[in-house]
Amino acid sequence: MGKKIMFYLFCGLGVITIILVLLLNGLLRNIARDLVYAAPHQPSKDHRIAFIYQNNNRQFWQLVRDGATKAARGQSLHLSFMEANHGQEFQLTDYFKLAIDSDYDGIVVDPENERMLELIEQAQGKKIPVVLVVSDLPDSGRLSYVGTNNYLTGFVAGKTLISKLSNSYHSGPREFAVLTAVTGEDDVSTSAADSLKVFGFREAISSRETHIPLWEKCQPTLFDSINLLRQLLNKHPRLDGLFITYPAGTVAAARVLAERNLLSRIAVIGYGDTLEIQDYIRQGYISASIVEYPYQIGFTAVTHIRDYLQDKLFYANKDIDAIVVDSTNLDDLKKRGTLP
Amino acid sequence: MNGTEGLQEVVPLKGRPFLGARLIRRVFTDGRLGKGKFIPIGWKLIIYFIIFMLLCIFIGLYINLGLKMSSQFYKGILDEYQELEKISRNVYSLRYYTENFLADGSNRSLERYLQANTELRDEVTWLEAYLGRVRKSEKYFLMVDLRNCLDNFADLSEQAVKVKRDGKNDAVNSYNLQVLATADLDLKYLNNLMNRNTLLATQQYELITRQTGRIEIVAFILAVVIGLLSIIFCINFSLGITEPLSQIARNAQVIANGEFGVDEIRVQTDDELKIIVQVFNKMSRSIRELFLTIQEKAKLESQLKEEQMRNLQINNLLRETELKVLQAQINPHFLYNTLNAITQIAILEDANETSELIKSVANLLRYNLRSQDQLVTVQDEVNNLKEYFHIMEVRFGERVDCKLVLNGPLKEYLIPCLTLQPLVENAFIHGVGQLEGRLGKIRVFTRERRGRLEIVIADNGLGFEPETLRSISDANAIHAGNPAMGKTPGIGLSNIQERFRLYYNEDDRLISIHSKPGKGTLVVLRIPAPKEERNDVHSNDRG
Repeated sequence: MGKKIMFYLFCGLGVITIILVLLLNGLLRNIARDLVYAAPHQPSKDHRIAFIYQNNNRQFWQLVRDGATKAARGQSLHLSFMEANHGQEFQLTDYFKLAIDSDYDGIVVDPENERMLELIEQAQGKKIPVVLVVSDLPDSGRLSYVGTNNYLTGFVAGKTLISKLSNSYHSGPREFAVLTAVTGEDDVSTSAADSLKVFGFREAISSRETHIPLWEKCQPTLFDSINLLRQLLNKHPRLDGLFITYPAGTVAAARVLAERNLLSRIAVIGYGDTLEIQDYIRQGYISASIVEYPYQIGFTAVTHIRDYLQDKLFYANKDIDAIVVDSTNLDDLKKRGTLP
Repeated sequence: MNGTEGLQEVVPLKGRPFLGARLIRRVFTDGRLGKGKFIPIGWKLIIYFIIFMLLCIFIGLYINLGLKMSSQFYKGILDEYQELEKISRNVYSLRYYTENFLADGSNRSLERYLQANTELRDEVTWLEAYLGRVRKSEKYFLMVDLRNCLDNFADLSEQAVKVKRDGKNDAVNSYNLQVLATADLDLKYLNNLMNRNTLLATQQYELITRQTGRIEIVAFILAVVIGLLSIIFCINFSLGITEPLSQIARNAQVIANGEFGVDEIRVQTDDELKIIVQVFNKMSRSIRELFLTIQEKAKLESQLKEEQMRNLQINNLLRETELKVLQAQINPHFLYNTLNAITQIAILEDANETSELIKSVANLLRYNLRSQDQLVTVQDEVNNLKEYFHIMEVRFGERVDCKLVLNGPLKEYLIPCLTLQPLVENAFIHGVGQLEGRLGKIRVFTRERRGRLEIVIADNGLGFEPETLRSISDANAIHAGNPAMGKTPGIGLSNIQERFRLYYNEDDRLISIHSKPGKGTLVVLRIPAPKEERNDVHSNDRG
């Protein structure tokens, strides 16, 4: 009996020893393989593509990246995402310059504004093709533009806002305000995309019964947006509608209007399709929201530049659709998987 | 011939489990590393020691390898960081000396510029080589960016210097601005790269710290397990040696106490211990067998002695009988011839009764002269008895009534000569001879019963007291001639009993005596059927 117990004990400990040795071996192999003795990277990519953007909308740009990555997968392309963040030393122009100096084979960039024109020219001088996304600079030497037709988007937003307006509770022309996010190294600029959206919006709402809309610019944060909207409502209590071009501002508008009990008086056309915004649309806090297709933007942009590099194919500008989401089509779009 | 030759395998192998289990079981139970291979205990100890040492060394080496890899990893991070620092200094130097040269155009500045440019180019070359060692794809492309940036910066500075040396002063300022902007960008990028590397290294550091932490835990558990394993080995090994020795001591003690039927000791080792145990087992077996042999021999010797004693007793009895016969014979032939002459005279004188009596005496005498070691038929004995009865009837007259009732094949049964006459004499002397005023009756019956011939001699005499009867029945008492029996006529009862025992080789059931005081005595002889080989039968005729 005692011998049997000893035997089983011995066998058990022997098995544990073997398992532990294998475990030890595995741990060391992990260190060796992943950290110390890993095989050197064998470059197999023919082309290096720089994807440069200002990260003012994390969710939006993540989807853009996902689309771009998908397009590069299985191709001999290496995508270097160069993400400029507010407050960092390296900004959008720096990345652009770096991409040019580093002899990238292609650059995809959201130029934001006209100050990028010179860099696009420099890239062109080094025969580096540049595809613009989200914001277009039609006068630059870009290869193509992939993104929403921002003017049209603004126009549709204006028309939608007019349609959602309630009966006026005051006499005189309707009053509107537009809220856009500031961008750039100086924190005062407006992106070309937003400018075009505002132009389109103005065009849509302009008539004798309306005032020229107010245009407020704000840091793209919830805190700043709420503060700015409170000030705006204090200053302009007769507002009938708001058009906001970034997600944090849209959420801020819903909260401030609910806070001030102005939901029935002021119609809001927002931007984005986050779950919070979807909830506000469902509850009627927000009349509608403009939703773009960032995944498709990223995918198409990389496809354009890949086809150019590999097959010298040129594409005309590619307008990616934008949709207006309101309470009538929200569930349907969600069911179809268009919305997250 | 070695020590194990001829020894039996004590433990039979039951079944054949798979090799691994068999090996583990053997290694575990007795430290045997291979069946049938003799491994001395010393070697086993050395093997165990080496195995555990190797295991410990192996673990130590593993841990050392882990530490070495960790330090190599840290060294790699530091080296890269230092190299990027150095590149930053070189970029700054080139920027500085390019600007200086563009500003003053001096040879000294040019030399320094050239030196800085060469150093930066060396860094580019280093980066080229380094790219071949970079393991992460992300880092690889970051380093490619850096290499290209530095290369372009070096080219740009060369262009700027060339413009200056060519005397195109109007373009110098523009180049200077480009050089400064590019250098600043490169420095920013280097700074950014170092930050990124730090971030990456931090992530990897966390990873390696986690892994080394796990290694520490695993190594600790492993050390504990190996410790337990070695303790079990030690206990098992020492028990494997001491258990058989203790059993040997116990068995030796049992054997020393005279108990030879000890169980054999079982041991599964193939070492010196097995030899000791097997030798001990063989020794105990031999002792047991020797003991049994001696016992058997002693029994045989005892039987032989008994046989010799019997033979000696037969010889003694024969000698005793012969002596008595000789004493009893006073020139018997002379007496016999004389009796015959008397018979003739009695016939001539018409004394027929006397003649018959003397004839009976002569026949009786002649029969008595026969050797008592002879076997005769019961018929012969009965014939003799008739003569005796005739004489005794003449002697006692009307006081005695003798009758023979004969049944059974008397001629087929053999009996020692002169067996019945002494018994009838006893009946006369001790039974009816002392009766006063009462007819003495003596009866002799024969019959065959259960494969034996029963001869019953009965009298209605005085009989025996129970104590006397018991002493008569006691063979030793009979043999010693118990004085309670009084005078023993001729060959006594004890003599008959002893002769029966010797002839028929039986102790019981041959003679039995029944008697009651005042009622009489009954002697029963149970003669066994004769065996084929008996050929020492003598006829009545003397020839």
